[in-house]
Amino acid sequence: MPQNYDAPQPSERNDEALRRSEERFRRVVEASPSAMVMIGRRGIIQMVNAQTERVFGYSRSELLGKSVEILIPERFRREHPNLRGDYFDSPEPRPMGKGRIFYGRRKDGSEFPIEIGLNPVENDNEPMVLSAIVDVSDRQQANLQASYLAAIVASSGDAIIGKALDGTITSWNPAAQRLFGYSESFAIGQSISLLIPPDRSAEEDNILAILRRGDRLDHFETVRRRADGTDIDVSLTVSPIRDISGKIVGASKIVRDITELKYSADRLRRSEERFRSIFGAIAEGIFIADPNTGVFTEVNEPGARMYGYAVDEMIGLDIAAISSGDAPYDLASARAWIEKAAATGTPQTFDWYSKDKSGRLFWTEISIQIGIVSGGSVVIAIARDVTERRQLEAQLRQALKMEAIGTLAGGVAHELNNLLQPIIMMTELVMTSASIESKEFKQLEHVVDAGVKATEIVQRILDFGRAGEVSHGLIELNLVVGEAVSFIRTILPSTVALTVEIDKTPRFIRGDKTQITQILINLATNARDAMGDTIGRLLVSLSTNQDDLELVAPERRTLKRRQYALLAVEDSGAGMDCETAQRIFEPFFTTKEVGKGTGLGLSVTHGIVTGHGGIIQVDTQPGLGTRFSIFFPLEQSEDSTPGNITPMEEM
Amino acid sequence: MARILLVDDEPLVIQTLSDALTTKAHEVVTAANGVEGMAKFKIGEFDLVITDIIMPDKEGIEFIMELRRLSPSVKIIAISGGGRTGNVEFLKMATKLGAVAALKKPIRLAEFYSVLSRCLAGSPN
Repeated sequence: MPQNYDAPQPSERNDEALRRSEERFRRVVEASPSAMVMIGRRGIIQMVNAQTERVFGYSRSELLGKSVEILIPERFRREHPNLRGDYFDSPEPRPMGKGRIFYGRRKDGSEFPIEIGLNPVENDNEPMVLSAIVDVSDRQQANLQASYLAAIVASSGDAIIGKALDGTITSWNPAAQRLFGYSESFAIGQSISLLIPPDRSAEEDNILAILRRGDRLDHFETVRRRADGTDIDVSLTVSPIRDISGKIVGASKIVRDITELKYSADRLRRSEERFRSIFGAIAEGIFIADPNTGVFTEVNEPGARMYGYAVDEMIGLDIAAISSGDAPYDLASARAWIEKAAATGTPQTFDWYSKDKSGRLFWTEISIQIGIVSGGSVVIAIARDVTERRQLEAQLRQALKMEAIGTLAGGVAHELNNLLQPIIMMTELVMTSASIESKEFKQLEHVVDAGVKATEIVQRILDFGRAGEVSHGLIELNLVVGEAVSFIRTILPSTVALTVEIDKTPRFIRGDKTQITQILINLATNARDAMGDTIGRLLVSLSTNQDDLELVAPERRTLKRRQYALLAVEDSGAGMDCETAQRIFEPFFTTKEVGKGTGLGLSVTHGIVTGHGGIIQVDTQPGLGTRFSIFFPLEQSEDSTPGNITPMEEM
Repeated sequence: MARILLVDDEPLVIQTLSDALTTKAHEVVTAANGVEGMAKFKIGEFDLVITDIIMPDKEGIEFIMELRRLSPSVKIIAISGGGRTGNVEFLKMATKLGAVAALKKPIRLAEFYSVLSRCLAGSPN
C-alpha cells in the first residue's frame, strides 16, 4: 500500500464519501501496470506509483517534488515545458504525440521507448495531468523480429508455404511463386492439392496425419506439380504451427527444388557404378593408396590375387608390405616415385620387385599417378606381373649376347688359329734340328705347350659360337651319357668317387652327341675344380622326369607338359653363393684364377641345352656342393630304336 | 718328293707350311687365294693341293669343286682356321667333295707329316 506520498490532502470539510473515493483512486493508480505520474502546471511531480519506481529505477521519494523533466532524455527537455503548457491550456484525455514513440530516461541514464497517455485531473482545485507511461521495448523488439522473419521468408530461396489444417494455403513467399509459377494472390486460399500430382494425392493425407500428431516431416523427397503442368523433384520439410494455447492450427511447409541435386546424384551413382565395373573388370591390379602413409584404401580383385591376398586383407596394408624391401624396392623409393608423379603430374612407370603374401618375390611393372578423390589426393597404381616378360627379356638378352659373342668368337678364333699355326709349327720345325736334351729344346717345348693351350681356348670360344647351330638327329641319351662318363673318369683325380645312375629305359632326344658329351665334360670339369684336392663325390644320373614331378622353379614352368629326360650332375664341392649362381651362365663369367678358366664353359653349356629345347638349372649352396639339372624334351615315338639313330654328321 | 700347291691367304701360314714341306724336300708353289691358286694349278703339274677353306677371293669350297672338275685325280688336303659360321662343317663338306683329309689349324707338325705321307702314299686315312 502507498504510505508516504505527497498527495493533496482532503480539506476538513470533505465528507467520508469523498475520502473513500480518493482512497479508491489511489489504489487504482497504485495497482496500474503502467507507470503513473501526476504533475502540476509547473511540472512538479505530485504523485507516482510503484510501477514508476520499477520502470525508471528511482524511488518514490527521489521523484516527488522534482521536475518531471528528470524522466525525459536531455535532448527533449528544453522543448518539454512548452508542450506541457500547451496541454494545460486545452486539457483533454489523449495519447501523447498521436502514436509517436517517445523515450523515457532511467535513473542510470539509459533510455527506453515509451507510449504516454495523458489525462487532466483536479487535485485540491489545482489542474493536474496524470500520465500513464508504458515501456514498449518488448513490443518494439517483437515487431522488429517479426519484420526480420518476414524478410527471411520473403528472400528465402526455398518455397515457404503456410497452410491450414484443412489444406488451405495461408501464406506464399516469392520463392514459392518462382518454383510453382502461381502468384501469391492466386495461391492464398487455394487448396494445397493444387501442387500435388494426382497419383500422389494420398501423400497429403499422410502428411496431415503426421502434423496432427504434432510431428515434423523432414526432407521428404517427392514430386510436385507446377502451374505449367511439369513435375519437379522436391524435398519437403513440414512443421506444425501452434496457436498460443499449443493447439495445432496449420503447418509451414518448406519446399526445396532438388531436380538438379537428384540429377547430379544420379550422375554420381552412374559414374560410381561405371568406375566399380571398370575397377573390377581390369585384369591388372589397381591399387589406391594414401600418398602420405602408403596405405591401400582400395584394391581390385586381380590386384589382391596377384599378391595372394583377399581384397579385404589388402586394404590397410601399405606399400612396404608388398615390396621386396631390397633397395631400391623399398618404401623410400616408392615415396620418391610418388613425389615424382605428384611433382610432374604425369604417370610414372617402373619395374618393381614385389613380395606376395607368402613372401615369394616377383617382378611387377607399376604405373602410378596422383588422382584427386573428394578433394584429397590419392595414389592410383596399376600393377602388372611381368615375371614372364622379365624371363623372356633375360632369355632374349642371353640369346643376343650369345649371338654377338658367337660372331665375335668365330672371327677371333679364325684369326688366332692362323697366328697359332706359325707359332706352334715353326717352333716344332726349329725343335727338329735341336737336341732333345738341349736347354733350347725344352724352352721351345714351352712355346709349343703355350700354343696348344691357346688353341684349346680358341676351340672353346669356337664351340661357344657354334652353340645352337648344330642340326639335331635322333640320339639315344643313355648311350651318349654312358660314353661321356667313361671320358669323365679320365679327367677326375683319384680323390673323387664317380657314381653313375642310369636306368635301362632307352631315352631318345633330338640332339648332337658331341655337344651332349661336351656338356658333361664341362660340368665334370667344373665339379672337379670345385672339389679341388679334397675327397669328393661326383654323381651323374639320368632319369625320366615324370609328369607329376613338381616344377618349383619359375623357369621350369616354361616346359611344355611332356616327358623330359633329366640329366643331373652333382658334386660335393665348394658350392656357390646366390650371387655367383645367378651369373654362372653369363659368358666370360668365371670364379677360377686367371688362366684356369675361360668363363665360357657354362655359357656354352647353357647355349647347348637351350639349343636342344631344354632347360638347365643349378641348385647350390656354399659348402654344400652343386647340382646341375638338365631337362631334355624326350622324343615319344614308340618305334624309336637305336637302329634308327640319325648320324649327327649328316647335314 | 712331291710337287705341292699351297693356297692360303695368311702369309705366315704359307711360310710355316712351306718350311715344313721343303724340310721334307717337297717342291712348293704358293698362292694367296683361290683365283691365284687356280691359275697356278692350270699351268703346273701337282701331286697335291693344300688349300685353306676360307679365303677372301675364292672360297676354299668353291676352289675344291673347281679343282675336282679340272682334275678328278688330284689329291686335296683342306685346312681351316675354323670360326665363322659353320666353318667346321665346311671341312666335312670338303671331305665329301673329295678332299682326302681335312685339318684344323693350328696343325701340329707330326700330324701334318703323318697325313702328308699317307696322302702321298695313296691312302690318307
